[in-house]
Amino acid sequence: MAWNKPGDGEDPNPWGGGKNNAGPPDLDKIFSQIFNKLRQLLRFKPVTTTGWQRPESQGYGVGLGMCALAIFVLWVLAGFYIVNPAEQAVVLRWGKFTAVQNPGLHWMARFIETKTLVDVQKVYSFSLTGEFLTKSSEQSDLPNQISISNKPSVTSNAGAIADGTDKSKNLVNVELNIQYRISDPRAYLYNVANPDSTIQDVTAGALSDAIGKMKLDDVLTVGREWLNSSVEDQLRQVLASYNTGLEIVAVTLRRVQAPDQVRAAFNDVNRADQDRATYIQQAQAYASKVVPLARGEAARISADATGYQQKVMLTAQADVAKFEALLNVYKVSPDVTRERMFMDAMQTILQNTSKVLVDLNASSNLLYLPIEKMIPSLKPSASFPMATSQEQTNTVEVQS
Amino acid sequence: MTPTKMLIATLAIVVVFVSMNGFFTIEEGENALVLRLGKMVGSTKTDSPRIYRPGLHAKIPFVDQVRVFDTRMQQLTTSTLKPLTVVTKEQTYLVVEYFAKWRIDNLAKFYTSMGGSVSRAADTVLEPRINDIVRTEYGKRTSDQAISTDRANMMAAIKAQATHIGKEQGIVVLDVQIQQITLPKDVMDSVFKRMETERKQFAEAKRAEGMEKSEEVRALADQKVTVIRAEAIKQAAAIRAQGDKQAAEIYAHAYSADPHFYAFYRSMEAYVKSFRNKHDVLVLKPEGQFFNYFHTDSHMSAAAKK
Repeated sequence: MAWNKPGDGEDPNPWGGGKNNAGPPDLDKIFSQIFNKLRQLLRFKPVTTTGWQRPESQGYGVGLGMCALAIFVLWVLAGFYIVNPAEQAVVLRWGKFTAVQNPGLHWMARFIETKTLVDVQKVYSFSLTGEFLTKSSEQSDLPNQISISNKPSVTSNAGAIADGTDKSKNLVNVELNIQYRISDPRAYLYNVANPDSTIQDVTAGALSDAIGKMKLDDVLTVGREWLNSSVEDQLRQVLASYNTGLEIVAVTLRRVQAPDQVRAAFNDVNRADQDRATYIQQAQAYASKVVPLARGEAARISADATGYQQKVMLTAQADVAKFEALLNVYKVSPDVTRERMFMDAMQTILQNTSKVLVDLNASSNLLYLPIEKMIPSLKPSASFPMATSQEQTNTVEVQS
Repeated sequence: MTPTKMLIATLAIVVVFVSMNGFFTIEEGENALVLRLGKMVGSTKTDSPRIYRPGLHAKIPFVDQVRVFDTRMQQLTTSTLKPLTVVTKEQTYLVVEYFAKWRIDNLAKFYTSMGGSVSRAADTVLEPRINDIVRTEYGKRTSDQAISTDRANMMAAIKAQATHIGKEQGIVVLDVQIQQITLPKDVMDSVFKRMETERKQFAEAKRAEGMEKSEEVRALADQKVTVIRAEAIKQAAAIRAQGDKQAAEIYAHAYSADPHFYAFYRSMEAYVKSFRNKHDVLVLKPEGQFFNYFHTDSHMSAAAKK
């Protein structure tokens, strides 16, 4: 609707119907007013209602520019990120690998580039436990060359019989601990699917391999170091060939022992060892006791003999001295001495013994002599002790 | 307002939307094929389909479909649910666990034969064939050779044969490793029994050896004791004999000065010592020197004789 021409003096208010207007509100007017309000908000200049007005380029541009600038600043700020001291960041642009970033502050283009943080210093660890087959054993493999005179009477497992060499399988229980870390983040993320389970499987393989080459008793005793280094070598080699991006930090053989089911028997071998040593020690103790005792006894026997020798000699000398003294006297007066000696002796004899005097001729009748009745103190036993020294001599005189 | 502007605005949104679908990224560790109306998009240089490497690529929006494949090294592991049992040359049963490392080599072949499914590839192609190879190689060797002496050669043979698998399916096998060899359950039990008995015998042998050595030492000691004692007795006897001899010499020397007197002297001593208690009975005739003066008239006559 046309503006009132200036000078008309009529009310220019478009809303007011004026005196002349009695019709409904003008829709066009309403909509253009709404648009104008909107444009004011966006700092556009309102357009006239006569139709298209070309928008003023400055206002339009300023608004748009301010918006774009704000978004850009936000985008730039969002692109900063920090890589912690233990980490590295793998950066992909549109999915393609561009770089590995070291610790520090970095910037990337958000939505275009992506980063994955990988901890390259943390040491991961896992343990592997299981029973492994060792090299088959033969009779001569028992340590210390103890040869058992009879072949084992057990049934070897089915396979060995047909083998004909009588080799026997053995199992050993091993616990191994592996420590590793990520050394190449790019390879770790994008080279091998599931690298963590890969390293576990490779370890099992390396362990099985190494143990399979060794005999049971070696594994249990002297071969632990070799086992450890063999597993480590193979592990490194295989992992390197796969390029997993993982690096072995440590390989530790935690435990090597006989399987649970036979542990008791194996422990008994140790006890048998100790028993053996004990038996020998006891025997040596016996020897070191008995031999000196014997020597002591020998010395005593010798001393006894020497004592006897001395005694016999001294006795002889004493006897001889006595004899010689008497001999000298005898030489001076033989008859008297002889008589005296004889009488003394006879007196002593007859004093101490029981006597029966028989004053008969030899050719007379048979004489009955009940000696036991006549001499009451006479005892039949010859070995009776002669403790009784009686003053009285039992003398029976028989005269016929 | 102006419908034109609205139309333009809407059109702009649609264009943005469509063009976003016209780009796609492939991440590291993946490759992709693009299918256009069911057929693979070909490389402009050669006749084979184009492989889309990691990075940003363009395609026809909505018409082209992108199939992404994991091109990292994959692993096939025998599961504990379906263990692989092999028989060795001497008819021993072993239970073998292994894993195989493989990679997609030819994307186009892989897609057409496997439908792009990694697990399907593992189950239908790799596992049966590698199982066969492993069985065959174990069958050629005794269990001792397979586990110990010939193991390296066997692994090399398995690996060599395995690398030929999967070429038609666009797969390449990179490695096969035996993880674990175990025995079937019943065989395990008999192995344990045998091990146990072996150790028991060993323990017995040790103890027996100990007792044997112990006996040796003791016997040696006893022998020494016997020798020492016998020696001592022998020497003692010699000393005693020496003493006896010396005494006898002394006696002989002294007594031979007057043998008659010695006889008399010694006889007297012997008589006194022999008849010395009441239990000795002398039945005597009153005759002899002792009874010289016993009879009534003898002492007179004896004195007269003197």
